[in-house]
Amino acid sequence: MSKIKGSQLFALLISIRIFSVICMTDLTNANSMAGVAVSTAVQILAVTPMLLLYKDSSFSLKKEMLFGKFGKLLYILFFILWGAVSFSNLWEVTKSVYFPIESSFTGAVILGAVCVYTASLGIKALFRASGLIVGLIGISLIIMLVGAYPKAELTHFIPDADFSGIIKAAVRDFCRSGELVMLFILCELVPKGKRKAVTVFFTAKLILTELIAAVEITVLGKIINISDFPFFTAGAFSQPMSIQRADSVYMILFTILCVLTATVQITLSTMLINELLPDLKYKSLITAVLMLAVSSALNITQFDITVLSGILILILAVAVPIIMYIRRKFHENKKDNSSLTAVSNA
Amino acid sequence: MKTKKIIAVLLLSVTLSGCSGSSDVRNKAFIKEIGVDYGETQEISLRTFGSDEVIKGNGKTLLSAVGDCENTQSKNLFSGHLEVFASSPANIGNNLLTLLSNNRISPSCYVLCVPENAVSFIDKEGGKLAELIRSSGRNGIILPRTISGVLNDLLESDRKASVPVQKDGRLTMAVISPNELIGTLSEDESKGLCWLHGNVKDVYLPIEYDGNTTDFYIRKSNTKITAERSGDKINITVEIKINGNSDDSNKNSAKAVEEVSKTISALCSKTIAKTVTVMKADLFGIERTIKSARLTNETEWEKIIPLLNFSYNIKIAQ
Repeated sequence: MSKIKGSQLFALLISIRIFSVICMTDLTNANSMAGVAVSTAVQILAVTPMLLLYKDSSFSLKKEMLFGKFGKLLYILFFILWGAVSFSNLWEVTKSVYFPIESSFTGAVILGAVCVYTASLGIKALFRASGLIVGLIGISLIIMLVGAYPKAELTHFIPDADFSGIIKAAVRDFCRSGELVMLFILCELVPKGKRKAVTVFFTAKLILTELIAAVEITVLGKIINISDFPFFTAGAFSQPMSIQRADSVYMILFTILCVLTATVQITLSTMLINELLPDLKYKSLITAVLMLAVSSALNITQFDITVLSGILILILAVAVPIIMYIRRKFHENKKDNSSLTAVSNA
Repeated sequence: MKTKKIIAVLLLSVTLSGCSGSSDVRNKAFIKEIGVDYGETQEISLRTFGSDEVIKGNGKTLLSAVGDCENTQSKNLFSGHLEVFASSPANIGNNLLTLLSNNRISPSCYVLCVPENAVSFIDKEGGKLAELIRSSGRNGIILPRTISGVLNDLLESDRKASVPVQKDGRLTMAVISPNELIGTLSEDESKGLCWLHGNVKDVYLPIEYDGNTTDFYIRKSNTKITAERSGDKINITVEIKINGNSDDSNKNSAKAVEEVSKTISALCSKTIAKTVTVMKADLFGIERTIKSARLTNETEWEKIIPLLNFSYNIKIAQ
């Protein structure tokens, strides 16, 4: 099995998160900023059981998966759904933001092909690439901050958060944190430094999300409410260079992050399908086609998957690890008791 | 396996490199300036980079009028690098929204209001409008406004914004709503607007004292507007920090400083009187400052205006 470093796990997770942040349409006020902080705190608590599971070096998710094959199938379905959401985001953005492509569908199909190719290179290559992508995220954010500094108006931020608004925003943010489910599967590939990677990830996630929200709110002002994708509009508004369209750097970043996110879903699905159906051919291709099909179905029906994804995240990233942890502890206690009985009998 | 990978790479390189549906730069024309008049239809005239020719067209909407212009010549028109959007006041708010959606134009594009016949204005005066706006802005005569700034102001609750306006062959400032020109500011009021917005630098301010007229050089300046509650009223303090010096070193510098302070305060107070009191416009984010500091529960700008007391604090470092 491919072993990866904790720092690479952090790079991959933060890249996936930044893709979600770029696609967010509601990071527009004090409620959403406070909601992100609450949601991050809840997520840290939520991942504790999975970290406790992996703390024991004898734990193997592959062997101990709850509900066996059915459990794995659930994870596969989630990854296909999350990949489909990534493609849907691509479609939405290409419709709202000027992208020099002939049609959104062609763009999605081509990116699907790129993802299949990237997935074929293996998970190690993907993790190595995520390190480079974090560098690109850093450069893009520096460009944005440099450009935003003279244009930011602090009075655009009105501290009028209310309890129900914060809770709603926190729930919405949690429903978009699909990386928690990925974390559960990916942790098995990281022999050392999981806890540190996860801690740094949540810290960076909170700081970067709040930073991007602050830039969007202070630079865009009232325009944020009529902007389809505030990140791109803020990028276009904060032009640090004399050339007028420095915002293209964010389009490049968005495209690369979309490929990375979808590829991670394809790779994870393929890994799990391989455990269920080892003889099946063209697993990556089949997964990518399914993702595109689900994505177009979501687009046609305009189905809002926020609630569904929230429930799935709750089950797959929180409930399943808790049950597995309790089950494991129960078995350990039983083992201890039986060995104690054996000793006392002897 | 190797063959499959090579085929995949070849396929991707063909589809991704722009072999299909590519558009050569030589087949594109980049719009530099647009003039728009809104009547029964939108009439527009535009000038592209590297060309003196003015292209005219009309349509029911702004974008269809641009499309009409495209039909009169061979190249694809691209508005992504537009420098100046000159428009008659009617429908200006909607046109700005249309242009900004889909990132069609750069948000740093300048907006210019032309009270009458913007189409022929581009024809007669166009070509160097961006430079003209920039140089007038540098001299503290007008405040160059970008499309994002104007739109942001129009979306505030007072629905008014300041824009440079072409009047009697000169640039000055005006106040607009999304659909009309509310009023034009005098030269002094325009200068006051620049001071209130801040960042006036590298300009000479003529001052009179001891029976002489001399220049005071403003190296740089910074304006800060703060609000605080005082009983039933809200005190708005405009603090302007200036770094500069009098050109005439023999003169009494303390008097020069006092005179500069008086001159700038007078310019600012004229502007506030005209824009806030007469036009009921909030061009300096006063309402935002008040709401951000939670100084009143009043939600309507027009009801906040009577509560405001303005004072000016000019600090000069030589």
